[in-house]
Amino acid sequence: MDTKKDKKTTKIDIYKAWCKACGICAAFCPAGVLARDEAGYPYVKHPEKCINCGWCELRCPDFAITVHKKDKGFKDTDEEGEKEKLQGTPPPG
Amino acid sequence: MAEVTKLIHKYLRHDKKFPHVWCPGCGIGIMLGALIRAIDKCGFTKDEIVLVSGIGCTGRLPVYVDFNTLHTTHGRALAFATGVKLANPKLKVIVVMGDGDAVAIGGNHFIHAARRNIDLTAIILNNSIYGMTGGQYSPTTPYGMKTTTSSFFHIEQAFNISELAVTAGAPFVGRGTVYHARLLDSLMEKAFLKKGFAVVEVISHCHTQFGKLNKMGTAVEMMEWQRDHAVTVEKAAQMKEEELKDKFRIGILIDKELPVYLDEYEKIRTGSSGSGDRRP
Repeated sequence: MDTKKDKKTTKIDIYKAWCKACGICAAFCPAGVLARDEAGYPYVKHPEKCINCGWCELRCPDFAITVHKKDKGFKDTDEEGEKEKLQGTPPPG
Repeated sequence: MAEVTKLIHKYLRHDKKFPHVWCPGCGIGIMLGALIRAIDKCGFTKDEIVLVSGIGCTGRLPVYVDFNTLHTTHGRALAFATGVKLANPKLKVIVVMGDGDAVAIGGNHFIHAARRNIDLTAIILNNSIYGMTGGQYSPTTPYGMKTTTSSFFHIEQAFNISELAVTAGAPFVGRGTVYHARLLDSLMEKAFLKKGFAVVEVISHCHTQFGKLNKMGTAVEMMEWQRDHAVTVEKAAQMKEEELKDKFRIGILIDKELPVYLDEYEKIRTGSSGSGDRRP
């Protein structure tokens, strides 16, 4: 598979229950990925343009947006699973 | 980047009412994120941190985070924090204040905590107005601006919190904006690791009161204003005085070493129990 496309494949989750539609994420997205609907809530308009910079996540005052890097075989792992992945399996003995 | 939000959720009190109480787009939420990321990066545990706040919009902040928290009376956050630190010097005491809390009602506590150099971190959110009580002018409201108590225009000059802290003798003073969120992370991290009284001034916006009265627009437009008017310390050194007229400097404004109050106090304490000379 072409690696270039892999690099730009991210998954953006917007947690609607906490979002207050302030528009900061959409306004300051450097790649123009996010747009706002009639009510002002953000939605992912161009997911392919995402560069995984994470500025929407850093500037969201309500912690309502996350950007996942979509790896091969990506799936939502729990905290312990991810920790294991980072540290690797412990050596035997 | 998904780790960022996961990390923040680790430190939130999920039994509290979310989304939080602040207006849509308020900078306090962004500051809260930076605070949590910086604490995590420094490697403090939840039990080591004491978060002290006063009254006001910013005073609501400790409600949402899972540290040892203390919500005190208006302007007295630094006085309470001094007591906590002296009673148990092992704790890392962080004080979160608004501009009114820090330099109006608690102005005296602020300059004297800086002068004494007590090992605290003061994070001051400056939104130039008393937001929660209805938009009255605060000591940091700039000259000529409209507020509900200066409905024609404001005739007083504003306090510059960072420069006040430098003059009062604080060994570490940094200033950031909520637009520059990554800078805020690094400033807070340095402030937490600094031994002595560290001040981080966070320039924020109050679009509900200040923005509406002065026709500065929404939260997004006010953050654009921050972007256009903030100049880093390094860049400001190369600029002329006239160019810097309506700008403000961000970054580390001062970082020096001074004797810390608790260490000096310890010298007196150990000296008095032995026969040694107590003078330095």
